Amino acid sequence: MKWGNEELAPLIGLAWDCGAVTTGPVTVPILLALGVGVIKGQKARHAAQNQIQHAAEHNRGQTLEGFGIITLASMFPILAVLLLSIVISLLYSPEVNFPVLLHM
Amino acid sequence: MGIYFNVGVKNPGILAGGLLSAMVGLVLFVDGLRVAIMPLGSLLGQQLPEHFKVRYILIVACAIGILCTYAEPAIASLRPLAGLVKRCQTPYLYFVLNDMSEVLVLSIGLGVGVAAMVGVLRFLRGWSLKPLIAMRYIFMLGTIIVMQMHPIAM
Repeated sequence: MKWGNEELAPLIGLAWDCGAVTTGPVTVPILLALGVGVIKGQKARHAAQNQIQHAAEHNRGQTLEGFGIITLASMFPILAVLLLSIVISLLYSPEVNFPVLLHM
Repeated sequence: MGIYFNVGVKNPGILAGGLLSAMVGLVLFVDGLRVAIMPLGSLLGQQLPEHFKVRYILIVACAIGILCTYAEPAIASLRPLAGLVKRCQTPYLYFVLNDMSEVLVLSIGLGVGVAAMVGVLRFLRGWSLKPLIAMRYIFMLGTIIVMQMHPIAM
């Protein structure tokens, strides 16, 4: 078992780019809308609860927005690709699975 | 542009037509998002927690994340680049981009799915964003250090 593999270094750039790629024109509006919807539902439920309990200050820490989900959506894919490349380096080795032609 | 897609521009008519269709397509696309997709997503986020348990909401969020990634036009721009990578210089990069590109897209999709799950859970439970981001960065730092280090036998 070897710890560390410098041949994977070119994949780091790919991983960080993939994180940016996912926050494109399709993903951002859909995820934002989902987040805003969840927050709206939460707010409505909190309001109903407050009416019952007569407690006005129950909305701890949740501001009115549904944002922050895009940050997560750009960070998790980076980690996913980084982990994928480590798994690939453990499963495959260049010498056996995709021989490197040095004189290419 | 010509180098990027490995095709030269043949005649100005095609170029102008392509530009125009890209513009019209984007306008229609954004308007379609505004009219249909965003209200739908908002409604989904609003109504689901009322009718279903948390784990079903998370499954739906994860599925939305994965499907979004497959629909993402920016992902398709990775493919033309795959041919430009030199196999002898960066064997792993070549392997991932050419032979494992489906797995790559799937792993990106899973990443977005997990992100959607965590995001929804965060809203439902009222978690703070800061510890999540800090944790993520620590994990990333760890993996990057592993990926850049000289091999050490354990």
